[in-house]
Amino acid sequence: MDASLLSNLMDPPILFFFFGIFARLIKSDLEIPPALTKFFSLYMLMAIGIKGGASLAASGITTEAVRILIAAMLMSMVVPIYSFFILRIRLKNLYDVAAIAATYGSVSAITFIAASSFIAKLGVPSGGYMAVALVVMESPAIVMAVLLAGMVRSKQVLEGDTQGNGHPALPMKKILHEAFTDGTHLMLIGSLVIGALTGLEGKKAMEPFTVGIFKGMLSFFLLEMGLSVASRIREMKDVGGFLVGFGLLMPLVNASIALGIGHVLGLGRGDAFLFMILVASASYTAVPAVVRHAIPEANPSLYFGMALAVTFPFNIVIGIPLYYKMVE
Amino acid sequence: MKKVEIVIEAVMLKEVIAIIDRAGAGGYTILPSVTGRGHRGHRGGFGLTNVFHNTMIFTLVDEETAIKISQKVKKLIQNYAGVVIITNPDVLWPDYQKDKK
Repeated sequence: MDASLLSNLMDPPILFFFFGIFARLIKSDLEIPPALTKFFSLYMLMAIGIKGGASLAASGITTEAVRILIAAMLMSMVVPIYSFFILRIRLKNLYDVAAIAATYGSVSAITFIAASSFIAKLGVPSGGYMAVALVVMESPAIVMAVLLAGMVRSKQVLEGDTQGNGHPALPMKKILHEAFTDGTHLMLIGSLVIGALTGLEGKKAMEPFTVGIFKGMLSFFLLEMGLSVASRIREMKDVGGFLVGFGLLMPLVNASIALGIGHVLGLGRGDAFLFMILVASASYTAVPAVVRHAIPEANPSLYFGMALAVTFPFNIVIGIPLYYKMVE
Repeated sequence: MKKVEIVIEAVMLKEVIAIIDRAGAGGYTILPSVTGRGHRGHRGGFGLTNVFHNTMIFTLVDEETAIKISQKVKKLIQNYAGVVIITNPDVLWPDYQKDKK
């Protein structure tokens, strides 16, 4: 099967994504109740957790897995740092800079899922530890951004700037607690552990639920994503060209760096591709929830809007087939 | 007796409850999801994250407690979406807090 742009697009979930955008643009009242959206996202995390955990139990922790997990964690710390320095070239509010940097250092589970089903369709294998990589990349970026925001805050207090309204910084312990106990994050970790404990037998027992109806659930989820993206597109006018450009170019830069690292580590095609997707994606679930607490001065419309309305569609539509071509 | 109504970003609900508890209120009522428009634009209606959700909480307290609560919440609203309103309610059972004791 060919891995062209068209074959990526001709998949029901992706088409439902466009359908969602279309429905919102013609001002239809089509909507999915927020509680169901939450359920769909928990379902997705359970499905990849069980699958990843079971294959991890089957393969064991190999040295390749350890190497890729370390690389994943390092990338989620390094991406916020260079993103911070690129963003501050044009952006005046450094709290916004720190929050956006966290968003791009962290990952999008749905982008990862879409990429996994893309290579599954092509019959390219990948390791169960890639789901673990998804887990380890979530929090370090948040911690890095909070540290950066803390530096900004103490500098502004010294300079007598009241931009931060004198808001006291949250203690790091509380931020770490928020990051690790974030519902979506914990759901993935819990499912991975359950998948690993019950192994292939558990995976098989769960299959009617986690595999059989997976595409339908993903279609519903992406329909909601399309509706949400279209609602946010209008706000993107206020975001400005620089940030939209950042949201489109940064995934390419990050994916290229990940490709280089994957090459050095000698990763297989499937693993290298998923590693690229993880590094290229930006978070619109866990990071906004934690960052809203940790960096209250930053505008959530910016960091959430960019990750959801710019980078997510780019990765889903163009990124996935493009990164796969790059790996080949 | 005063009624303190607070609309606040859902992510800050825990903090507001803590403020109300610490001020010594006898209880509170929560409307978990409310939508509307204010100084931070349209708020509400998105299932993926509660960052754009608002929630409402109200409590019946004496005047001193009402002021204590509203001053603390006003500080939060500098950085988060929300509003605090204090009104004089007509409570059908005005002495219910005393009766409880």
